Amino acid sequence: MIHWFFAAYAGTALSAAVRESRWIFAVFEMVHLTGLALLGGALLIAGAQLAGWSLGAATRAQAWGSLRWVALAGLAGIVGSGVVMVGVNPLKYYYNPAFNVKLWLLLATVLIALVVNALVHRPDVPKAVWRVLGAALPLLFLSVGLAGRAIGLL
Amino acid sequence: MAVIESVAQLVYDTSWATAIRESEVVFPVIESVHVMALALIAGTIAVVDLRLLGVVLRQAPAVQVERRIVPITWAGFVVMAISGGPLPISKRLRVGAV
Repeated sequence: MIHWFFAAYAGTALSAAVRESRWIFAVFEMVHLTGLALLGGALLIAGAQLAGWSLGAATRAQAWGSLRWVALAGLAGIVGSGVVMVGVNPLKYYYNPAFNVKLWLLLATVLIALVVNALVHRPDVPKAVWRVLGAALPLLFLSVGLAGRAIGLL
Repeated sequence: MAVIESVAQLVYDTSWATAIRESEVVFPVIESVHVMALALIAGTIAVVDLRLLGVVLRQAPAVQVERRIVPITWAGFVVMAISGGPLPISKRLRVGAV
């Protein structure tokens, strides 16, 4: 199923345009890195706040409530530009182990963020849980970034 | 320009610059650290800027947010500067061509 998608993508006009253009990949790579920076900044600071590192008067819920939109904007930039970048050679990405690891890590980051979103308004969550969730978000982001860098090396 | 060129050549010829250049692992690892530190700097600056614009973390005073986050930005800058040094040094000719 997923292989079929990547194979079909390779035959699209978008994929051909990315392959043939000198600029499309480079421009979307810039968007990708900007999205990565936004996501990383938001997750690092939100994670620190969740773990108990105070940013002043803002509570966990308040900090998460505003920073999640920055993280979402970064995620949208990463995914949107990433889809275009994969078009340069979809099947090569499909068989790249670092690309697969990156996608799984990104999925894990989104799942942890959803867990935080579900728990952040509940007062009965132990501090230890917040510490784990707060540490997991920036660490997962770091892993996503490193896996992304590894794509070009494998 | 000739002075820069000769200093670059001296550094380029050192054993550690050669080691970075010839290793399949060291250069990509340093480059990855460099890029992640850059992302950290840009991301934390973006959050502080968004706070100053009143978009995020409005419940916390801007000055407090700035004081807590900017040290992280500087930490990222230090990592980026340290990891960035060996990158052009090990590839002098490419930098010289720019």
